[in-house]
Amino acid sequence: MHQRNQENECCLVCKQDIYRDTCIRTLFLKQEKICFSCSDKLIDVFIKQKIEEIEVRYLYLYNDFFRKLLYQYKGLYDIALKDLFLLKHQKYIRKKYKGYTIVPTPSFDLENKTRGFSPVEEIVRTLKMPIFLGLYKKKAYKQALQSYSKRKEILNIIGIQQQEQLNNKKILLIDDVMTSGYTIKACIMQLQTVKYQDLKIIIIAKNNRKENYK
Amino acid sequence: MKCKRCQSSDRLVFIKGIYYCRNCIDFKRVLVNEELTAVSYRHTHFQANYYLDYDLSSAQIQIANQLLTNYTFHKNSIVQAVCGSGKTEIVYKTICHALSKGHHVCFALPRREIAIEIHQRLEQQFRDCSITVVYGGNTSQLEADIVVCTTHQLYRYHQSFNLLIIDEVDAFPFYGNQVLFEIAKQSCCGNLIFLSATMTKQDIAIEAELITLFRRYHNHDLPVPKIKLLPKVFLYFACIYRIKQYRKRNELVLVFVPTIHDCEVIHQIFHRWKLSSSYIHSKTKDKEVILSAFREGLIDVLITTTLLERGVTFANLQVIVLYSNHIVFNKATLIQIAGRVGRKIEYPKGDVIFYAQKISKAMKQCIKEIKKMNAA
Repeated sequence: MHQRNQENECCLVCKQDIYRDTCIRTLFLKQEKICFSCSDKLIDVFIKQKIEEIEVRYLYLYNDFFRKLLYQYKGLYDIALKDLFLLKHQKYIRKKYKGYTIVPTPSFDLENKTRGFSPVEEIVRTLKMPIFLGLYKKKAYKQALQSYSKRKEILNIIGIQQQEQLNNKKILLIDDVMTSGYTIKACIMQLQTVKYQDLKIIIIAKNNRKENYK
Repeated sequence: MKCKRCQSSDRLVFIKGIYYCRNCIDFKRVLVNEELTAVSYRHTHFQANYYLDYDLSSAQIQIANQLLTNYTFHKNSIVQAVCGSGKTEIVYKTICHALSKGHHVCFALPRREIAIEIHQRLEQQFRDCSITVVYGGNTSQLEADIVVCTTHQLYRYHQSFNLLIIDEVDAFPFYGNQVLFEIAKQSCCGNLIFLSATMTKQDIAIEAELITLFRRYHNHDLPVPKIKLLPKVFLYFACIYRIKQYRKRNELVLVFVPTIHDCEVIHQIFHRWKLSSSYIHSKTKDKEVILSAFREGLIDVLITTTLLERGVTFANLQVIVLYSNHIVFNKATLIQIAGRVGRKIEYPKGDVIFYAQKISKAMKQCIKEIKKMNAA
């Protein structure tokens, strides 16, 4: 049985005791930062897809729980939640993508200043792998506020700098949510200007609900 | 060190050079050293008046004067008044006084539906003032002479109001929520008035004078609920028989059930017994359409969850509570439900019937409390 850590015993989401549930898991499994019942609401999906011949791996289902969590992180600026998004899959990613350089999708600088952090960058930092921060947004542009048909515009908004750092490297592109796929396509377009060895993509959650974005 | 908004020091975290409070993170991050600014809107001094179609009772006038005196002497007040006693009207005098002094006035409520209804009511009764309603999804206009808002929106108004009236203090989600209570306290730089039917002084950790009003404005007693104990299957038959009797006399019938699922099940059962019914719960769209159809008598019976337990008034109404021993029907909820009946002076009486398989503690306490209020 695991030793309980007395200091960090509150769930980051529901703010209650991590081991409050009386089930057999609480005796044998060590849980960090999130309690079992909140952790269960993050539903894993095992979908692999290809976008422009590049392999994409999705981690979670974009359900109401994930949406609220992401809103609290990005919209209410709760940086403490950065550890939760990849917590379950940390070991897997480190093992499977050993030797890869991580490229997080960019967010606009001015927005990051008011927030105090860049959301995707902070999430990928929890993996403790090499990171490349050359992708950037040329102007303030919120993909979530655009109608579904106008989302193509992002292709002209994302740029790349210091791309020579990526020459002959394996790249792992990570984004938080994919809805139309145009952000990822824009990033791929920029990365194709680089002579990389390999390119893989991880999307934390896939949003299938097209009807929400009419 | 503590958070300037929720006054808590429990969940302060320090990450990446940012020191902030996670206790009230639902209302957007506040840094520990961040100065919260008050909303600075124009001070208007004008003699506001209110227009009522009816006269206040002598008890209401007495309490209205007392609230005004408390406000002028900078004292907080808690008004504990029975359902249908005209709690809202008794604060009008204090609102007029505050407006004439150029003070900022806010009327806060825990639920969106009630906030909208109070806003409509105040617009009719304070015709000279600008009144705005602020709730989640409607935050375009934050400033007016009188701000009506949900208690969740008070975080926008740090130290802004000289007079803050909080109605239905005992309702979810405000009741028992320490963060919301602190935010409400912080939004007020003057005095608070709490209005409630079932609140006691111990529930509010603030120095305030307790004022009670145990008579309804038309001076009739509160209806005392009757309990009908039956096995589950017979509950429906008894209920349907009773509703048919009420409908013969052209009376409106409201049926409270514990859950959203029950709403749908009971609706289907009633439909089979040729009762035209409709249901309304938090997830229903077009709530207003259903409520107006019910008011006009187009629907025989309206099935609802505790959504309609407070803030609504129907003339000539009879109330049935199905499965009243369920855990969601606590004492306060049952008192509020009983308070829906006999609110109009034309129909001061009506029936409140609890249909259950067994008697719960809350049912007993509710009946005891109502009898106590009637005797006072």
